[in-house]
Amino acid sequence: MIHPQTLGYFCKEAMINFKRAGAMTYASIGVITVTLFIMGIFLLLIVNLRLVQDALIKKASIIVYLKDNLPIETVQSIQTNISRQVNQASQIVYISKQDALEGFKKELSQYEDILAGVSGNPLPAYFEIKLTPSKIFSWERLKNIAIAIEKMEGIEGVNYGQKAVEVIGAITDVLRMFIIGIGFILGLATLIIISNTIELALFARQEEIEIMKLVGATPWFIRCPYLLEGMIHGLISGILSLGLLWLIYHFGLLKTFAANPIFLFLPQIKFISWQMMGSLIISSGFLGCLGSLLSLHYFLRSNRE
Amino acid sequence: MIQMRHITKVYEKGIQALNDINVEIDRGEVVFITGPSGAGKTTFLKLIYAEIKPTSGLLFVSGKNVSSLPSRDVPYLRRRIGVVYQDFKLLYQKTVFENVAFALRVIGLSSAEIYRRTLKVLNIVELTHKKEAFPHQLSGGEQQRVAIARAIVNDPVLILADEPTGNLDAGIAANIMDFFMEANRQGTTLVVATHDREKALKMNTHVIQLDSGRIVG
Repeated sequence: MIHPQTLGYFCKEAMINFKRAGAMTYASIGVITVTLFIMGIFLLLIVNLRLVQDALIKKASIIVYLKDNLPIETVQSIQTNISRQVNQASQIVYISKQDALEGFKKELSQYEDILAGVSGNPLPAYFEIKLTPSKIFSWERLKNIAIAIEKMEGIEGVNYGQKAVEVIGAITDVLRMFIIGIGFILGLATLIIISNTIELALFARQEEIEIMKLVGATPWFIRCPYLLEGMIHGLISGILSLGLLWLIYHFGLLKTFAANPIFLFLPQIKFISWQMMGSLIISSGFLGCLGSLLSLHYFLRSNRE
Repeated sequence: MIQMRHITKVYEKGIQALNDINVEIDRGEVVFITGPSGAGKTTFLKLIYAEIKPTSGLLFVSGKNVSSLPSRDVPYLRRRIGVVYQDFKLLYQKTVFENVAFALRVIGLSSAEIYRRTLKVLNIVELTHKKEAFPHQLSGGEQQRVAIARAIVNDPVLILADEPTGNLDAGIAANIMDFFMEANRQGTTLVVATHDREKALKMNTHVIQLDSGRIVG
């Protein structure tokens, strides 16, 4: 059990080390802040791509094109089968070939030349399914419904905005892989930087550590202030990087998005969640501790081994 | 207190520091280890406070087999041993009081207990009036008294001193030896390494003469 006054001693020593390292401390915090900031940018990107996905899914609908000249019984049976696939709140509207053509003509009423070239009725009849997705509804589920419907008899094709879904999904997947890769590299860099800074502190206090060992300090007693110092490096860098990220988000991204009509169809971009912020700060503190531990491991090795 | 059985220490590159040493030091005894530079005096002391392991042989300190003591137990052995060096090994950015209190801080005592015990030993080495001074503001003899205070503040059963008066004038050296002898009168076993055989013999105590890693007298 650690005496509370001993804990106070650890904190005091950590702060002394922290101040003593001077420029090295600022350099180390600066570099770690930048590396964590880069991680943060990717997190921000993933969070907002997720939002775009969610926004798209709220407007999800499936268009089911039917083959020509289907008997009315087949059309009815298709409708019954579709309503079995989707939940009850969903709307299923049947648009006949004639209605489809009329709708088409109405939409293109100012382009009579084009319409004049259209002979007969090339448009298929279709069902428009307006889904009312529940909270747990996912693109995966939508895709499964669409595939199930496509397999039914008399179906010409199904459209559920798969291209947009697939593109966004692919981007998110790539980003996720990228963030894991870059997270690993940046994490390693952070570890090395902190480890070097602590090692310099250890060299500066080599004699003090020797005397501590001599008077019977346990290795953990010697380690604690340095572990705290590494943790402080990590935590400060984590907080600073989040601050920087928030400034970029608030004064850069939000303003750019608001000013540009291209982004109007997108949902309001969001900052990373509290959980993510917490995880980022905690993991940077943890990295700091680990960095210290690495340099201490080599430094405190006993001559007796 | 200390038993060495056929202790041999060979450093890396084959340098033999001690060769087949057999020694018995009783509780409360004063022992001088003498010999020229390179005789193995420092190695002898380092083995006792478990700074190094013997290459072969058995070493018991206060009933503990130090030759095979696990690293995790070394700090607890050292809390029962006070070590004093020729070059004092003080922390120059800490005051006299902090230097002595340091030995108690690292074993996790409360501030009140640290204060009480530190003042007590500073009083013994007659440095209470200089407790706020920094080591560089003290004379050599005073610095060595701070080192002694740090060595005895834990109430050790054993004090090891490596040439403790090597850097001091004769008068001051005698004064320092008085402090060691006083600690010994309180029951602490004392092992002092010195190259000055004449002075050791005058003390009329157990003298172990080393030369090239062997006991020669």
